[in-house]
Amino acid sequence: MVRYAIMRLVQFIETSKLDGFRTAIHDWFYINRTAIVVEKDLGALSSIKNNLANLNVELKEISEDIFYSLRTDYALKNRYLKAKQYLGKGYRAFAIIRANKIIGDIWYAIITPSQTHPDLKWLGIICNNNDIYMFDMYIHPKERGKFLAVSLQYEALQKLREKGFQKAYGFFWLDNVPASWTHRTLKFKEIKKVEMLRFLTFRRKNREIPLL
Amino acid sequence: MSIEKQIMDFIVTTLLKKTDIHENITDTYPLIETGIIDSLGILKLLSFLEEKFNIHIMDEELIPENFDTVQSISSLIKGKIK
Repeated sequence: MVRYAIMRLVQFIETSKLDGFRTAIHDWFYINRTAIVVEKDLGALSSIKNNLANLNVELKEISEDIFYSLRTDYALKNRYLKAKQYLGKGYRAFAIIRANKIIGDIWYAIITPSQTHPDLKWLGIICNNNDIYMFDMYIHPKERGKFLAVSLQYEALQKLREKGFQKAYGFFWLDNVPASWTHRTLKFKEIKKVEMLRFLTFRRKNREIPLL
Repeated sequence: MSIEKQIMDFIVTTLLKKTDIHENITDTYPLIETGIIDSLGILKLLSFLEEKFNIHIMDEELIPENFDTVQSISSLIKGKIK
């Protein structure tokens, strides 16, 4: 709990500095924020321009086994603290690395009887065998505007397909234009809208509207 | 100045990277698959379009089909300022 609080505090400070105070506050307080729940059939991935090679970055999968042996560090402290928490829960990530710094990552959870993800409950997602839940993609602010978000998510989806997964679930906030753009560019299917209220750690679902 | 020309000027001056050759950009040049409009670029483009043409682009209109070329962006704008 203390580690979680420290991570959130560091996140708040770093987000305030890089993206502004309003953005930092908006993660913690909202009344009717709309999440769009999405799914992607990994068998129907159409190819896109891969920008990772041109930008002199490499893509690596991160699991708890290899994280501490990698001689890399996060460009942001809160992402490092978050990664440690996620890895402790058994989640994995694909990260883009430049000069030994992780400048962006996207996380996924393999849902099993012994491992789930808390988002699935409020989003109302039911994952079957061979499905995964993807969440919390982040690109360092100084690296944005280079087509990295779409390239990272696309590469991650491809790697997950190679591992035998069939469907990826996730969500984006409708007011987050870059996230919405990334998912729509990759042609994720939008399943439903979920309207949420949040006050610090308290969250409540207001309404759910099917889109299909 | 035509809508297409204003959009083109914005793309060339604001969204193109140093490595992009702006002579290649025509009204039908694919802006998404070439990475010219990415997740940050769409934010800049939206705010330019909404301010310049005094329109509001709805969430459901924020789809690649509406922004793939200068021509498609222009069609979206024309439909709103009729």
